[in-house]
Amino acid sequence: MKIHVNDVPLDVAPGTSVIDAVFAAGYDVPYFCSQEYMSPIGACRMCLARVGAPRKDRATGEWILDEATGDAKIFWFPNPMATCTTQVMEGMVVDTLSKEVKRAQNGMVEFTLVNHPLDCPTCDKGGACELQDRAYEYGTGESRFVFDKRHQEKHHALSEAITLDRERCIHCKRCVRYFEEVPGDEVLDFIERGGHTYIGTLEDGLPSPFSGNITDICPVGALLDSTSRFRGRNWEYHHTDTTSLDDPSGAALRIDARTGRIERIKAGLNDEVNKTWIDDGTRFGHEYADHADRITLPMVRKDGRLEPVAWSEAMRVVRDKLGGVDGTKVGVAIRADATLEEGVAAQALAAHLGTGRLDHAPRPAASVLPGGAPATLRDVATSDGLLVLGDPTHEAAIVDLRIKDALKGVPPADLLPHGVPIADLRLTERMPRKTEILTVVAPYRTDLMKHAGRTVTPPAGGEGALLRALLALAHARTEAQGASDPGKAADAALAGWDDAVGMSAADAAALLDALAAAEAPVLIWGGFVSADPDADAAARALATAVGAKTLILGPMANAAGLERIGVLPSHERYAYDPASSEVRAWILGDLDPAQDPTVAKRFADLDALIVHAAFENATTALADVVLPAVTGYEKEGSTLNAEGRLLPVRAAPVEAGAATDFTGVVKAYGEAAGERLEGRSVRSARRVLKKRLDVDLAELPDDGRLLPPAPAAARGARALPARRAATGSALVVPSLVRIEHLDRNPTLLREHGGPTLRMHPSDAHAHGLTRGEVVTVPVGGIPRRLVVAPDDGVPEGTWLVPTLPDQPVGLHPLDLDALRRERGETAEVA
Amino acid sequence: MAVSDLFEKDFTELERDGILFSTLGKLVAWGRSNSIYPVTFGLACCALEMMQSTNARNDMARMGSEVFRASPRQADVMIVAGRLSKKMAPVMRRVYEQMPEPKWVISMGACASSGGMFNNYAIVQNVDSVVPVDVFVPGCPPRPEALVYAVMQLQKKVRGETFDENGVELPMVEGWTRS
Amino acid sequence: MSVLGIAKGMGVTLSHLFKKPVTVQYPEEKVDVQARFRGRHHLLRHPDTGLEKCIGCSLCAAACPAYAIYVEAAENDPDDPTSAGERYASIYEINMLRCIFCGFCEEACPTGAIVLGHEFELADFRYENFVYGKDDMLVGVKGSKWQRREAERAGRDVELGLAPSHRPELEGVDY
Repeated sequence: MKIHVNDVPLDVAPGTSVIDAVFAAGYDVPYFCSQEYMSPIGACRMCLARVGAPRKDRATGEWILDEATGDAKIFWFPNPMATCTTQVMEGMVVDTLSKEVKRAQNGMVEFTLVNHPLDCPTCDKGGACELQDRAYEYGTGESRFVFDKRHQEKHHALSEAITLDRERCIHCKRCVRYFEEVPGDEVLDFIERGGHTYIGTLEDGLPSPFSGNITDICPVGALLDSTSRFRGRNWEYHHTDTTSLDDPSGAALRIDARTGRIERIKAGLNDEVNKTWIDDGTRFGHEYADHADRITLPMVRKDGRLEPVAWSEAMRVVRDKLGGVDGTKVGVAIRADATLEEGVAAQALAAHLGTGRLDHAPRPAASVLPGGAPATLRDVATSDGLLVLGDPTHEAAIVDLRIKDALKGVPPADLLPHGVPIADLRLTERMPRKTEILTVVAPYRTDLMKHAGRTVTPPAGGEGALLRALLALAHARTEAQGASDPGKAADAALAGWDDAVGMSAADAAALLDALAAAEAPVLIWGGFVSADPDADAAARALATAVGAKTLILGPMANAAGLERIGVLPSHERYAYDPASSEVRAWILGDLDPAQDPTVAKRFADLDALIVHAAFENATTALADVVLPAVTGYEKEGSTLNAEGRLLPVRAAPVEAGAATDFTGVVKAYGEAAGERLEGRSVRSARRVLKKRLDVDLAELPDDGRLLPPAPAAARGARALPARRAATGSALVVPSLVRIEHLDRNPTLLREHGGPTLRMHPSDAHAHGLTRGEVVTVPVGGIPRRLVVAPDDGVPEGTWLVPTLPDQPVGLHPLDLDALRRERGETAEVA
Repeated sequence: MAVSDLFEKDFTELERDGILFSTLGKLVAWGRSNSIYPVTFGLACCALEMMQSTNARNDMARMGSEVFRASPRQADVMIVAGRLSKKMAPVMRRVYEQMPEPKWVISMGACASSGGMFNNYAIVQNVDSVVPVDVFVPGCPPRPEALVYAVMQLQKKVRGETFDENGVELPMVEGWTRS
Repeated sequence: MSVLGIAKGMGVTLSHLFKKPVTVQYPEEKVDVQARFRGRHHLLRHPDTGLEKCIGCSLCAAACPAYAIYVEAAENDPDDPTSAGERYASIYEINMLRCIFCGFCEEACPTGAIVLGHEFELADFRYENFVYGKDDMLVGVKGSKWQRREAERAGRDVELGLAPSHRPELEGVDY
């Protein structure tokens, strides 16, 4: 459609809002209630502009012409229009510069400021406040308000991590709409009306794992992040645009740091991945990086105690100790959220030492590379048939939000010259969701099931059986189509169905029908399926059978990347097994296997134990050499997210003493050994990766780059020990909040509560466990300290324990007989 | 200690022999403190206040700085008054080295002491990195009386009456003061 | 040159011998400081409640052209508030050697907490002694770090070498 904005002629797509047209033309209007990716509502009235359009004569159907010029006559609308809720029309003329519009803007700023408190010096939003900026740009500069302002509750703790100042709220409704439209958890609303309106919740707290995003979108200082309360002014922060290494979504982050501490994490913008949203675990879980316990110097064991030394001396000890060990008996393992450059460094180190025992952990038994038909997050958001196996909310939080996008049925908007459209008119408040396109399969009730049209609860570890049954049924139905009597053949195919897999035959047929009818089906699975190679094979085959793309959620941020570049053992029998008696020396990066007493006993006998860690733990307590590690916020490198997108990881300026990432370890080792190893620096690692991946990682755009699909790595796959203890198994489940750091993230600990042991209330009753009790119970050998949380969404006989890097998702032996109650200790259950 | 030592040993040796605290040492120090002749090293605006400190109203000559010696060979203290640019730094060092021992340095004003508001590529961010500073004078520029006070502080230092926040005596002449 | 001319010139010089000298015998004679002279900073308190005026907003740090001010804010303990608002400055430091004594911090301060006073005798010997913290600048603290150090060792009060003038913004400052 051809329109004019002031003096600029534009051609925009029909359905574009006028505010987007104004910005596309290079002009601007102020706005408070519009937010990218959310519905426009025209509440704040700041975006008013004078709009006019030509009219057609009702009788002739021709444009009414202006006698003087001969062009179509412009009929100006009687009142200034809210441009965010106005669609463009053919021939429309928009005026944002005239005096009438200026008066409207001045007036609206004045109205908005009438009840706004004079908090700017003490308000954490100062310097980054949309109201401040708009008042400066569009206000009169003078106040005529001499009366008493409205008084409301100030600094109210809306949740443990979010502070609400009700006086500052300008009632734009972004937070209310956000909760309904993005995560689908309606937890916040306007209460009362008129001048008494305020924001509130039904119960205490904000029970949504994506609540923190409201602190990003609130235009004023009403909703603020409590972890950064009063830590610094916005102009004092140093901003680092990086990628989250907390989960395999690859969400864009902006880290605000000051004087060597991380004060706040905000969401970054990446239209392809996380849009402008991040989950609460990522947002509020940064306090551990500044904890006083951080190891800042290398340490070497002398007379039984760890003494701080310089890097050069530590590495001399490492070289000497490793020199006495047979190279093939050395194991090198890094955590699965290490960057690709660290992976290259680990490979170089393993090659130099002459060992094939190189691995990354946690690593599921099956490959996490999707193979031939990978789904991007955009594919997920535009899909019309989603089969989800697992709990994406906790495995890769952003995937949960993209799934919810798909339920709205609105494809992502095309980018305009100014970026993402500010007011996408296809989005409306409380849109109907197409829940019928989503099927969630999980061994317990997950939050995502609330939004699914079809839910299936197989027994724990039963995904393999279910998938095989579905696959068989799919094949049978395909064959049945070619049979002489398709109806009878189809029924025969259903006859052999065993309901014990978790769903009925009719439901299975309906599911396959839905997937077949879908034009862009996507199959998403995570740790529960990857833990079982047979389940993984069945899932891949099922995806091929229904023509679906696949998205596999790996255990940690970069499992896909590390597998892709080959940080894998040379043979299956060399897969990471810290309890192995064949290994005489271990070099571990960010892993803590000695939590398991069996492993600890084994480690006491090692010839050399070299641990690269950020905090002291059970493994560093046994180590010969401890090297200080940086956290995921301080690494310079690249990561590959679940969809196969390379994303840049950049270092925030955090004071970490002499800590480095694994490339630093390899560099120091190379200096001590007199070798120039590949991966001794991020630059040298990138040279290697350039050859392997044909990508210049130093030039990665901020929103990343999709790699062409790669085949699943054939070697190195190994099943988890499938032993079941006499008293049962625990299902280790994914966790959005990183449990290993929870003790050092006080805000997140208060918000989330401690790690929980979830079971059906009848099981709790049978074992005499009460809600809130703190217990210690060995799970897969590792003693886990957990809070009892009976949950009727957990099937009877299933016990759920949140995952740790050293205890991956899947079934592990659970020794309930050895359960020990921490006498008298109870905790809040979130 | 023989009187001849006074002429043969140099002051640092005398100091090490613990002689500063003897009556003779104190006499020498008193004499030195009351006749500190500055070398003309006015670089920028602070130089004007330095000039003001020599006028009739604030007479620095009362403190013993009778003349500002143009030749460093005849001067005791270098008052670095103003912005020291990186281009000028070797020149200043040369002038400082031409001064005979014992010599002191007063860093006058924000720019000489720390770069002041000129935190850029051209200005030395603390002349202590070029010459060892004994007294810093904050101000932009310091009042003439503030400079007179600083000279008085230097006199106290020369006489050995100064100490840091831990109560440790500051030596009469010190090496690099940056710790 | 005529002898008369030389004699006239010498006469002018000689006449000054009998005139009262204009020299202000600092430090014995106290220097007159004008009311709005910009010397060492003071952090003021509210006269009625005794709470600090500074709310830790960092506007002074933002306004400072030399970036001499470092502020860290903290939440007021409701039972024992330090300042009158939600927050106070837990760390407030000014590097006196970076400071150019321009008074922009005073102009920027929304509560009138930081005001430049009349003290100018700030010379000291080591760079690190010039980072003045809150305890060096709160109203009631008299003299520079060195003056207080010297007075404490000598066991007497700090004696300032200045004769201040009255300035109403310097609430509670008593020279």
